[in-house]
Amino acid sequence: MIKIHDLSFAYGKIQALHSISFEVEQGSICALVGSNGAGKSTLMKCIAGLLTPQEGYVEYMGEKLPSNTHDVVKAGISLIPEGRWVFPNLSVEENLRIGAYTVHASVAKENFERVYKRFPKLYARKGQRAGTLSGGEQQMLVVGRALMCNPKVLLMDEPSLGLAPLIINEIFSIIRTINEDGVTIILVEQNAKKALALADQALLLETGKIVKRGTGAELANDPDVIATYLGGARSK
Amino acid sequence: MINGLSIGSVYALMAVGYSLIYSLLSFTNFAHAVAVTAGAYVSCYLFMYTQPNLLLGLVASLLGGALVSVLIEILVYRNMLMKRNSKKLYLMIAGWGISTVAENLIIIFISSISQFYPSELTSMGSIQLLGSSIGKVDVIILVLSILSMAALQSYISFSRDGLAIRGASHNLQYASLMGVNTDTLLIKVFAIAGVLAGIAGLFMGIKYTAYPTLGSVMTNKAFISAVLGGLGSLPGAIAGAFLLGVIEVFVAGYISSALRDMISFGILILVLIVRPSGLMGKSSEDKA
Repeated sequence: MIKIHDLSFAYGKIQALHSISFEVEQGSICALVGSNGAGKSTLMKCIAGLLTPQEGYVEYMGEKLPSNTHDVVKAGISLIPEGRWVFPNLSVEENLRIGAYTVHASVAKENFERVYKRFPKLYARKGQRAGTLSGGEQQMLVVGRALMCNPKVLLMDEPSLGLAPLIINEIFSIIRTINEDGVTIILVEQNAKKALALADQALLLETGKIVKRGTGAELANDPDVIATYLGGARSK
Repeated sequence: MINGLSIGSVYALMAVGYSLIYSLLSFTNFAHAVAVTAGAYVSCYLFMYTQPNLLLGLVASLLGGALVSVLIEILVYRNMLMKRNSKKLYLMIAGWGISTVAENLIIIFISSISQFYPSELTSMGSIQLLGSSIGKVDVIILVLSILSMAALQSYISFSRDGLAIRGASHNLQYASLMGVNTDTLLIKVFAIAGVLAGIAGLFMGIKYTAYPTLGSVMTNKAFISAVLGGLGSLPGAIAGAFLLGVIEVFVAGYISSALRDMISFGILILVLIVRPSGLMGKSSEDKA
């Protein structure tokens, strides 16, 4: 469904991605793991059109993906960047409505119902300014908002960052249910153990290159990955 | 008092333009003055050939202001914004340059002398209210300005693009991740600012005359209003403008009209020293 072709990106002289290529099947979950600075977020931003790669391109459903962010969204690819960014000055409901910017009002109405059903807490706080929500609620809002435009592909950058363990479990179960509804997911996670357990396909990035690829289970059982990213004896 | 409110309402028309653009791009669009001057001249020239009809002038001026404002965005700012790391200060200086170039173009191609509006508009007589005489012009200006701002406020509060503008005022890039075409959104915002500036230009032209530096003289006051109210905040800009208008009229009336501008700019300096975020501003960083 999504095919990355020899994608390279540099911030000035710093090469962040070296000729990355991979393919994600429709309806699957692809996890990108790796340490800080490996280029995971940069890769996500390149796909979403926030950064323009110097070389290579993204193919989506057989066609070259447009390079403007808003056209990427219209095509059905929605990015949730890291850091739980809500529009703090807007209410919960307005945050969701701006998420439905690209779809017709009648579709938006259905999506409101679906999102509120999935996140009853958001419904209870729909008039509240998003900046006043707790961290977990903000992350729910961000996920809910991304679903408002009926994305076919969801790019999630560190959805569990800085959240309490219980809420992290909730987020991961939400990711699973979203995927069961047919949404393809590309997931960047520091929490490699949980991400690999969920993923159909996994890629290990190091300094802008894919150094290992396989199914989630294969990477989770790889001795190198265990030693470096799953923290050996340390529990995550 | 009404006179002060009427001047204040025109300052407000221009000040919300500053604030709107500042809230999205975090820079002060000093080329805003050009749209005001354009609004004043367009109607002035139109009335040389047609009946002095206020409604007709309003339409012509708002179109003129919007056109100039959008052209500046497309031809100048857009190219600067496309480059990553282009500093906001550069945009501000460019705006300044545009405004000076425009003034001189008017002097060269039209005239440096004031152009008068037809007397049907400038001296409409006055009405008596509570024992004081109030210029009809002032009342009309006040009412029309308030209507324009009410229209803007409801557009921002209730429309789909208004929501996008409020979202983008927090972060333009995030808005694009929602599927908002930020290029188009910026054009719309510059058009709105231009419409209000054009209307303000018409009112200023009627109240004073149309002259080349009209825009920069008046937008300086609007800028003070926007800073006073807190740059980036629309209600702040409006409150600041009315406050400034009333202060100016009282200073001119009870102290000396020579002191008026000195006091206005004194307020600007004072606000920047004491409370840079203004009455309702959110952050005090980088008010370039």
